[in-house]
Amino acid sequence: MPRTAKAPEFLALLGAAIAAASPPASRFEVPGAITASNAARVYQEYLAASKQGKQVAKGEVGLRDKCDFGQDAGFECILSDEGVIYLPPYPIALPHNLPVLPRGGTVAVRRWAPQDEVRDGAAKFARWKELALSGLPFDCDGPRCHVIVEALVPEQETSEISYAACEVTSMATRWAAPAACEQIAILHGSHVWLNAIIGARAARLSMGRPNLLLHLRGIAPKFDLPTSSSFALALKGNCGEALRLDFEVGADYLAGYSLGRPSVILQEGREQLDIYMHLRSLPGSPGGLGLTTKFNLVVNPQNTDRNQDWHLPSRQQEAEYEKRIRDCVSNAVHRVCKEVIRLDAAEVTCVR
Amino acid sequence: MNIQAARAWLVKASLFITALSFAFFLLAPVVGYPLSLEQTPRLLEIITPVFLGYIGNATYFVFGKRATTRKPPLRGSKELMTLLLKGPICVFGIGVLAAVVAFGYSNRAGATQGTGMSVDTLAGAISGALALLTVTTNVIASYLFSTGEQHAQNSKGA
Repeated sequence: MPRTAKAPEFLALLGAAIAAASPPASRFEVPGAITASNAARVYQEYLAASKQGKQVAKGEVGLRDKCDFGQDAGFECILSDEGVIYLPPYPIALPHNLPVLPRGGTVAVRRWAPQDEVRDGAAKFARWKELALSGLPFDCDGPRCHVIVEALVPEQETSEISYAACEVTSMATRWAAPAACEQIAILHGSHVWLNAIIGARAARLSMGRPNLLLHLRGIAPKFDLPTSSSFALALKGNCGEALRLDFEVGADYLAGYSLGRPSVILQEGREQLDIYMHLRSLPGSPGGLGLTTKFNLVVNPQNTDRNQDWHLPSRQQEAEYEKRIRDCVSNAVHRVCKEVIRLDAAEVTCVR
Repeated sequence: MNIQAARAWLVKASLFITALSFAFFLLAPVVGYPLSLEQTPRLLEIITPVFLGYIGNATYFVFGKRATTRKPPLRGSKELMTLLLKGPICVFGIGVLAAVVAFGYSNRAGATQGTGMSVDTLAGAISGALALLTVTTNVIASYLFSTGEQHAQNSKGA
């Protein structure tokens, strides 16, 4: 067999080895992360100030019930119209592993609690610490996995170590920067604080962080709209050019990423950009076409490969990217609609 | 080079290097050099104290109370003194220039991804170049700008 025919296989093996040998970033800035002293203060405030906390502190026997947490049963709780309040020892789970909560359709309420007030807290923390030290991704669903990183928290003491659970995506031979990180544990000397589930409440609309929402509606009498695929192609063309990305187009999404290239938007430095656009049909009559755009961005003033040199962008830098993305989406809308009537920041009427 | 000329040369060199450092590291981020304004103070903090120290010594020598009019002792030739005075500072200058050029070139937009010099490495290179001055120019400066207080104290003690 000619040597050149074996080269692609060899390169694939080499790429897999590099991907395995080069785990994602193990120390990462996590927005909104707090220090151990803040965690302690928040917990004390919860016990002292909130109605639920007072109930927990007093251990109101009369109201106690038994609740499940996924497949784990036997948690003491207080059921109310507002939702569920768990009593210590609290349940805990990683953000991506949250089970269905009692009173279905509710969302988890998290609070920082001492390790010994969390069921199996010590074992869970030990496991997360092991995962953080190894830095290896786990719980993978296709290219999307999860990783536990050491969270860089401003003003934390030298004896503090914070951990965060993040999503991470495999891209060819490397891992993208960790994204959607949530702080899960703080080790301060011999004390451990865990971000436990203290209750669940009725679901309500979450602002979340899609960076850009856009709804396209048709106009009477036909309410004619561009097809999802034609809009996707317009987005690929306009945003691909604006962001210098080669978008992958799926049935209902576009995805693009750049790894460590010189920034095309900022005046200096390099960027790792991960952008995901999701297209969907909007409910209602007449319906519409919805676009949700999310992007994750880390920047580096220099051309280095070290994890500690990559950090979150400043607000101004992030705003510049957001503006560029908004502009390219707007241009794509103008490409598929003869006329665009803007109703508000997220709603436009498309005239074909 | 005599002692007076040596003093003047050291002061001029210190002023020049201090001025050049301030000008470069403050202007570099705004003219496209791959350093951010948050990173430059760290590099200035490495370079400027050394040369400000020499200038401070000289100032104290000129305006301070001198305990003796004795010239500082010089065992070697004047040529050797000139070499030891100018050589390390020239080497320092060449070393820092090389590090700055390497940093800028390796972090340019067109460089291969991941091959850039980090700020830590640049700071280390500058510190390494300064180390040469520690063992030469610092000693020379302490003799050139000596006010003779130590000698006077020793004489009184005797």
